[in-house]
Amino acid sequence: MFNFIQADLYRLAHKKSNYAFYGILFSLFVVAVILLQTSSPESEGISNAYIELGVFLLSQAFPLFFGLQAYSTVYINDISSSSHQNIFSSGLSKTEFVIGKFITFVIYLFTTFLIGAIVFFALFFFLTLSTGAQFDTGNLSNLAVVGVTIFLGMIGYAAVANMVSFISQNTTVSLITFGVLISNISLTALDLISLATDKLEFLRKLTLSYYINHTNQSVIAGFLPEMSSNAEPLVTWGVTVLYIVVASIVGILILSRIEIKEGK
Amino acid sequence: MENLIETIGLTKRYKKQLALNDVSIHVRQGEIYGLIGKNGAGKSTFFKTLMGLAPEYSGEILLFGERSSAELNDARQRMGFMMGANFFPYLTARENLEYYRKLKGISDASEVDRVLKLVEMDQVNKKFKAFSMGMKQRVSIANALMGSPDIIVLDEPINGLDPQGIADFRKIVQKLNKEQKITFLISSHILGELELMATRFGFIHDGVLIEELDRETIRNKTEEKVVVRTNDVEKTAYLLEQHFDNIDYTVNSGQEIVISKMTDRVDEIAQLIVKNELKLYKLISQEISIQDYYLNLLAKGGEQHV
Repeated sequence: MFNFIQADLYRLAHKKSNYAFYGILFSLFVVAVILLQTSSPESEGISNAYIELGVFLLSQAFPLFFGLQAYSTVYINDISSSSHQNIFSSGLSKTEFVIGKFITFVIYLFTTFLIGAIVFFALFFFLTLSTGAQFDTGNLSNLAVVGVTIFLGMIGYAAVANMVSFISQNTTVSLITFGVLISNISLTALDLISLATDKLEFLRKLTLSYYINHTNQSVIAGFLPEMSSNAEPLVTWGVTVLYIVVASIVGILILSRIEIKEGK
Repeated sequence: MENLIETIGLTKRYKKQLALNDVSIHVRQGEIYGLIGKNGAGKSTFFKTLMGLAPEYSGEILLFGERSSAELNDARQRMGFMMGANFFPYLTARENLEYYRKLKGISDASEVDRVLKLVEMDQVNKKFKAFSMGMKQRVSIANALMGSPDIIVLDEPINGLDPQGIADFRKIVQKLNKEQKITFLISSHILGELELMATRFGFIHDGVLIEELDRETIRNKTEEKVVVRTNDVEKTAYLLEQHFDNIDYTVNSGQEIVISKMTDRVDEIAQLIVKNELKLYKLISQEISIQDYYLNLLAKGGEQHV
C-alpha cells in the first residue's frame, strides 16, 4: 500500500498543470486583495475584514475550485486514463487501493491547504506592515474551525462520490457526482422540497452538507453585529468522520464486486 | 513440468451470456503459451479473470500453485500484465513507468531505463498523449516486462505495431524466454505471428477452451502432404512405390498424386521424376499452419460450440 501511495504522490508531483492551476488561482487572490486594499486605504479594522474574507472564501469558493481539482486529479485521473486495470493487476488489493487513495487525497489536500495558508498569511503580514494596521489574530479560531470543517468535508464528499465513481467507472458521472455533493445542490433541492412538504425533512439531516453548512454559516453569522456563533463544529466533524468511514467501507465492498472496465 | 498458471473449470457469466465455460488451462514453466481465438472468443475475459479484474466467477484459479484470494494477489506481484495501452496522458513514458516501478516496489531505479531500451523508447521524451498507437503499445509491453517477472501475460501485444516492431517484439519474447526462463502467456488473433513464437497453444472459441497442445503434437497430428502432377500418373506412382518404402499416397480427381507426409523429401521426389524423363507440371509441399489447424478444429470438434 505504501508503494502505491509513493507512486501516486510521484504522479501528482509530475502533473505540471497542477502547478499552473494553483499558481493562477493564488495569484488572482493576491492581486484582488491588493486592488481592494488600494481602493480603500483605511487601516482600521483591516485585520478582521481580511480574516472574514478568508473565512468566506474558504467556506464558499475553496471547495468548489480546489475540491473539484483535487478530486479530479487524485481520483478521476485513474478512471480517465483507464489505469485501474494496470494498478489492480499488479497485485494491489481493493482495500489497499481505497485506503491508499484516501491517504494520498489527505496529503494532497493538506498540501493545498498549507500552501493556501502560507499565501494567505504572507499577504496578511504584508498588508498589516504596509498599512500600519495591527496584526490582529482574534478571528483566527473561526478561520481554523472553517478550515478543518472544509478539509474534512472535502474528504467526506470524495468518499461518498467514490461509491458512484467505482460503480460507473465513468469520468463525467464521477465528476458530476462530486460537483453535486460539494456545491450543496442536493441540500438545496431538499430545502426546496421541504417548502412543499415536511415529510422529507429528515433527509436533510442525513446529508453531509447540512452539517457542514450549519457550521460554516454559523461562523459567518457570528461576524455580524449582535449575532453569536452556534457552530457546533465537533458534531459536524464527528458526522463527517462517520461518513468517511462508512462510505470507504462501502466503497471497498463495491470495488471488490465490480469488474474493472477495459481501457480503449 | 510445473504449471505456473492453472484454471480448473473456470466459468464466467455476464447475466445470461456465458463468457467463459469450464475453462481448464495449463501454462507450464518456461513455455510461450499462445492463446488463440477470434475476437469475442473469451480471451480478454479470461485474462481479466485471471488477473483479478473480473470477480464473481466459478471454478478455481491457481497461480504458482496458490489459490486463496490473498495468495493470488501476492502471486500477481510476480507477474507482468499487458492489456491495451492505458497510461497517464500527461506523463512521459519514463514517468509513467517510474510510477509503476514504485507501485510494484522495484527498488532498482535503472529498471525503467532497461525496459525502455528493450522496446526502443529510451530516447522519447514526449508526453504519452502525443504517442502513436505503436509507441503506446511499446510502453505497455515495457511495463509488463519491468522487474523481470516469472510470468508475463500479454493480451493482443502486437496490435498497432509496425512490421519491424512485430519482429522486434518476437525477438524480445524469445530472448527473455530462452535466457531468463520467463514464461509467457500471449493472446492474439494474428495467428501467423503466434505460430512463430509459441511453444504451446490453447484454442478458445465461444468461451470454451477447445484444445490445448504443444507445437510438436500439432505437427504430428496435422496432415502434411506433397502434391505431384506429371504427364504420366501411372508411371509416376510406380516409380514412387519403387523408390520410397511404405509410401502412402492417393490419386485425386485431378489426376494428381497426393503423398502423405514426406514434405522433407520434396527434392528427392523431384529428382526421381526428372531423372526418369517425365514432365513435371506441379510439385507442392503442403504443411498445415496453426491457422488451418484452428479452422479445422472449429469445423470439426468446435462445431458444437459454433
